[in-house]
Amino acid sequence: MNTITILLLLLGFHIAVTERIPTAIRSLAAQGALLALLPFLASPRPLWRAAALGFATVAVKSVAIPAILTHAVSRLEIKRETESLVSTKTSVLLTGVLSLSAFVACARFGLSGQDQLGAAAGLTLLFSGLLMMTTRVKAITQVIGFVVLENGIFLFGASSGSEFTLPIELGIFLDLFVAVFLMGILMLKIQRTFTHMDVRKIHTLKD
Amino acid sequence: MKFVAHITLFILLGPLLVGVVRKTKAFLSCRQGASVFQPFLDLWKLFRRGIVRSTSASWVFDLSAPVVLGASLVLAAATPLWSREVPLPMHFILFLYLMALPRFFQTLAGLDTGSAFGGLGSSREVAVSAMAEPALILSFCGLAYLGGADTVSGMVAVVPPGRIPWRPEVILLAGTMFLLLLAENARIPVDDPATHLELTMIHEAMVLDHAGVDLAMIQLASGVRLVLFSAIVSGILFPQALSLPTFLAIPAAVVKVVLSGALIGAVEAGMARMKLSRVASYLLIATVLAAIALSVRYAG
Amino acid sequence: MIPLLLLSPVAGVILALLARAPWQAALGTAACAAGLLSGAVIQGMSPRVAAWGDLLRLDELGSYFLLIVAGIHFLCSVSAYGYFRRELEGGHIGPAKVRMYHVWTNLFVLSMVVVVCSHHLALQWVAVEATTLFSAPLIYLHGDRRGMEAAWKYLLICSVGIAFAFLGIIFLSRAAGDIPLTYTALPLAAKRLDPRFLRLAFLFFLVGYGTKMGLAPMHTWLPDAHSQAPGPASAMLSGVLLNCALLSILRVAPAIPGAYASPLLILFGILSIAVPALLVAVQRDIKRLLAFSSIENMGIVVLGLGFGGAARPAALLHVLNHSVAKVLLFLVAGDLILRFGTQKIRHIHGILRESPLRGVLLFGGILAITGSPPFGAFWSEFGILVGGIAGGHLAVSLVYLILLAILFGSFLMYGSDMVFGEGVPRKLSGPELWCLLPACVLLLASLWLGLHVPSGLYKTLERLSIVVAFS
Repeated sequence: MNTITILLLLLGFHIAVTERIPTAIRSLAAQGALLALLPFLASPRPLWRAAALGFATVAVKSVAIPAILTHAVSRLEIKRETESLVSTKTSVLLTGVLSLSAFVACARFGLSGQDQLGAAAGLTLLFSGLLMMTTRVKAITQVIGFVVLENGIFLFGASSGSEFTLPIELGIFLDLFVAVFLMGILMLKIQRTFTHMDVRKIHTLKD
Repeated sequence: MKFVAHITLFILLGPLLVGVVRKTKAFLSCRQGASVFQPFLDLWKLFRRGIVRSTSASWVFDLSAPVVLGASLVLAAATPLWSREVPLPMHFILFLYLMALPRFFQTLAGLDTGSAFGGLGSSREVAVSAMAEPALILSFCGLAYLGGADTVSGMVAVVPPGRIPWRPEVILLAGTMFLLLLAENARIPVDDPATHLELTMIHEAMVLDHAGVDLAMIQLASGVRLVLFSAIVSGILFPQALSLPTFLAIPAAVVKVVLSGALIGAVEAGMARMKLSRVASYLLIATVLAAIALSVRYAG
Repeated sequence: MIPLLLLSPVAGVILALLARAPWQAALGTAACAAGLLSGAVIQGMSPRVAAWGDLLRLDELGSYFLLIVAGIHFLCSVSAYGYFRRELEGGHIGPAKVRMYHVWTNLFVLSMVVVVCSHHLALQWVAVEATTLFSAPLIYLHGDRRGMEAAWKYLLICSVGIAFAFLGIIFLSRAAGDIPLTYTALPLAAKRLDPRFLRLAFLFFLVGYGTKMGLAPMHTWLPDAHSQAPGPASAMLSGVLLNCALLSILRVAPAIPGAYASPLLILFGILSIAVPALLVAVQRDIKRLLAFSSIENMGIVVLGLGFGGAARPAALLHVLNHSVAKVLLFLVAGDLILRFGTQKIRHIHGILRESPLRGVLLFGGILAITGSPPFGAFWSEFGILVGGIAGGHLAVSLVYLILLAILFGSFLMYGSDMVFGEGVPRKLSGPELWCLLPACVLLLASLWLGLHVPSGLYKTLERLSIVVAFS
């Protein structure tokens, strides 16, 4: 479990600092596959429940969402580079600072051991997802940031031992899937009407 | 006796590791490649040759190669390779500064000959190592914190034998050390040891003016350095191997070094060299990883 | 009862998919909305609590919100028929898109019905997220770039906000331990919950669902989204969706210590009134104006809940008053935009001279939403003020009063510009009956709520305000 958490953290870090979109999508898929192992480790009984959750995680997070994003990348013919308002170095530093603060916050809050690592890693992913959403220029990298954020919350939930009945858990996955699907459709439409994917230039609506 | 055995093993493993790296790289790019013992032959050849030195070079230049080799061997004596017991236990701060000593002489020597490439290589080398410094210090501090010891040999074996070694912070620190290994030894994402284009060289440009015995000593020293870093990384990951009885531990050490050589070769084969401007990001990532490892430790 | 309530929007989706012509889809939606409304009324009359399994349960608070959802949905679906008939005549939109409007609207209503019926808080979260997803296509229905920009912001910001609310649910489950996360079980166990996690949970609930409610400073998506959707959809977004997010906060309130929650609510409330009060004065777009008014009214409700005491039933009453007046305004505004071909306020003037009915409706709506007597919102805003003063929040109450006065002035200025003055050169066509009839009903309802709050309603609100009180 610890190893999985650390791997998730490293992958999140990789997504935050990489400058290539396809690489980021691959790491996102890998994160999904790792997350699928969590139900087996956190609450293996009954097995069919863990299996259903693991299957749903893989289906949504490491197959469907990466497929949507890859499709968007190829259809939109966007350049492979992520573009950011801040330099890579700044975002590396910011991510580091955020993860430090997440760990310190969790330690201050009095969580301990296993709990603490998962919670802090989840918070770190959440923060770095938020950071990506706010600093990235391209719409698709914002969506990637959103999925990282969701993964962080998922990890956080799994390490805090929050469990719901199966229909609710599946509903959560369905929501995430539909959200990314809709974002994908919107990206295609935005591309068609705006002929660019630069969210800096989308600001006709303002006060 | 033990001292001699320790140093001898380092000297023997150095060229072997370089050979393994080259062989792996060749194998992964579907080439035959030279034998893994080729570096020994190269060294033998170089040792028999005389020295050609620039007319403008001074005594600093003559001094540099022996100092580089000497300092590297002293460092080697402090690094646990097959046992926790090392001939020369050394505080890690001293260790870090001794690591800087050969670099200091090498950069001076690079400048000393007055050739354009030497100066270029020296300036780049210094830049890279300056950027690697925070990560290096931070990860050694982390290791010292984890291991509860301030000597290099004591802290590398962070986990008492018989316990599960792979705590997350240990993995993180090993990863950081591996990133630093690549940067400090002029391996691929940072520098390309096999390049023939002087303009892109970092380390190689600096030693371009050395020849014969001097060059042999420098190459031997860099082999020893590579073994030293591999020993630290594998010591972090597999501390149990350090407490085996001697007749098992020495083969285990050889296996570890060969494996890390294969890993380095695989990385070199799979990656392209980074732009110089991105090296800073790379080393920053290493620093942040070390910091995260420390905070994981603090949190857990 | 609950299966029937869920069935009627589902039937609406199916009818809309089967429909050959736009009018058939509209008829199907209206019929299903009528079914939902009657179901909601029957449930509201009966004293029994409807439950279906462990996950769905409709108590009195849920019924109150469900009645608002169903009533507004019915009126909007009637109005949508007239609205889209004009749009189709004008060639702004194709029949396929009208059909999609009905499909998405029914799904949207379905998700809102699940929100009000959820017993389990995580299920409620799923449903709230679903409301975002199903209403996003309504915003970019026209497929123009402004609509897409609005929908993009809406999806992204609300999804992130809702994600924070989920973090709140995780904290809550951490605090609760073995206690199920249902709105019936949590208040009973309020004393046994771990207070540290409970506080964090409430903070994240407030920020998360507050984003969805449009509380400042998380409101940035709201004016864009509400101004870009087609008229009836804007009315639904503003009139009922915000209430659903509010309900999600109310459901967890009884488990939270009031001493911690009240200051937070007051802060967010007063901020959400202040931001529109400052920004309304520079608006040029009629629907953005109305959207800012929604932020303000949600701020008033949250402020009332924060004041507690006598302000709490008034806040619940204000939910109803706001829905009635705001939907009225959005329906009239949608019709006016079609007539004038613009959303710019300065191009709309002299309505009263050209079309007295629309003029009366618009001006009445503006009076109603700003809380002037004799409309319903006056009593609820007044009740909140009284509750605030009685609760000892003198300074905040004073600020609240000043901000309301500023908003009243701005709205009256815009309203008189649009309603009075010289007529436009082109003659307005006759009133579209289906578009304006629901608006007339709503104006009368608001008037009725102002002249005479039914005693039954008042008693119900008193009971509900005890249900949603902090522990």
